[in-house]
Amino acid sequence: MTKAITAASRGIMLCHACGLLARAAPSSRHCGCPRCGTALHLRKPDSLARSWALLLAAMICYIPANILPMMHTKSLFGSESDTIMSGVVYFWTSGEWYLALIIFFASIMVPMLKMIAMMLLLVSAQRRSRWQFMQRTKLYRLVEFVGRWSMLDIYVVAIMVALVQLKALATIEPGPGAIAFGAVVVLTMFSAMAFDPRLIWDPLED
Amino acid sequence: MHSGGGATPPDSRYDWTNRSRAPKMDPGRDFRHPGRELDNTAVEQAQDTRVKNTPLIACHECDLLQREPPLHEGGIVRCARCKAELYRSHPDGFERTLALTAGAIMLLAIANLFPIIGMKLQGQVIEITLFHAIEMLWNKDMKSVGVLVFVTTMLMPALELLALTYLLLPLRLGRAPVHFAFVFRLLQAVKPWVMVEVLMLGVLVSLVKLAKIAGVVPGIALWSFAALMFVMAAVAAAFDPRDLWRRMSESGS
Repeated sequence: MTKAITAASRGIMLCHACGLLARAAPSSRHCGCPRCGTALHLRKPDSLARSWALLLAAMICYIPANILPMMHTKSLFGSESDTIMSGVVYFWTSGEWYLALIIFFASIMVPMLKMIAMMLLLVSAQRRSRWQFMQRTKLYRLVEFVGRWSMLDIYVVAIMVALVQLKALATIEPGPGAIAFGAVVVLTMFSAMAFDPRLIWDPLED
Repeated sequence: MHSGGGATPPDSRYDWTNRSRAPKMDPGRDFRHPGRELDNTAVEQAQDTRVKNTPLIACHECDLLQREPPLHEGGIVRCARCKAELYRSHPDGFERTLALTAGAIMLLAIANLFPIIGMKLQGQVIEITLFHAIEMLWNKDMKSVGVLVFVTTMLMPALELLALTYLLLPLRLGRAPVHFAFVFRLLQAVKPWVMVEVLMLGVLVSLVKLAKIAGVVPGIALWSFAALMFVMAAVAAAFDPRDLWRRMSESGS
């Protein structure tokens, strides 16, 4: 099989905003796209370092996100605190298994799998692995696509807190878990954005 | 140029996948190696003027440099190596985007001004708008979460729609918008943070959760958000950035 030509090997940079191809000028280190002015790079700058940093921050936040309560419910029958997992268990035991599954996938599985997938992508890109280029690219696309759905629980908390404010009967207060959980979602999204999928294919250049 | 079925087939060194209406039996095209990559010799030996005049394109996901294949209506061009979508045909993309954006602005306004969900309790109905919910989070000292909800469900969708209008409407009227490039970049940056469809699912989950405590009434905004979800998806499908840049350069600025 013949060797593929990449744009980078020819010193050509792709503008991520407008799709224009521009040849890198040897004189200047930073150059903007001639058409839209976006900063151009052969590869996203410090892609691996940035992506790792954001991913590690997300992993740290994932612990309080799961341990701390998302909501406090105070009612005539006493008060209780709900973590994400206790919410899943509640729905499962009360017969709404489909809701339990949605929340379980969106709030527990997706963030966890996303972080594991990002780790796999980062480690393999760092080691310039020649393993499964296509599958890893597909994994990256999946991570990018699925990340936003973890925001689900944040919206649920927002709606519940706003609606259930019946002073005498019941109130729902947001818990600190919501902050940590929101941070996990945002940080993993930034981490995936910082990763440059072209790094997956770069070992073919060696 | 290329004119569909009976025309001379494009050079077999092009790698492309057109999904529909691609002529099935072109003797000149190498169907046995659909994933064949463009090699060095192919570029250098490309003496044919037609090949030379075909612009190059780089894949944004694997950086493979390849010739831009002709695009059939309704077709998608994918990267020869990693199968990422490079570009696709958007029939009437410009007009459709503009029309759908106008519709989406109305829906977004309704979705934000009217109550999204209500609760029936002892003969009373308590209704909240999305902004109430955000305000409540802010007042309960959950400012970061409040801001996150505000940004992803109100600010970013509004910015996306306004940016689209700003880019498309003047061009439609034959004028070139100022700061076109900046607004275009803004639009690209905003897109991943528009989470209308996730909010929709979140509201539905809350609806079921609350239904156990009291009677719940879906508000006007909920229907509006549901419609907005589909219209925004249609906007994303109709929007053609390549065509937009072409129009912009033609408008002569």
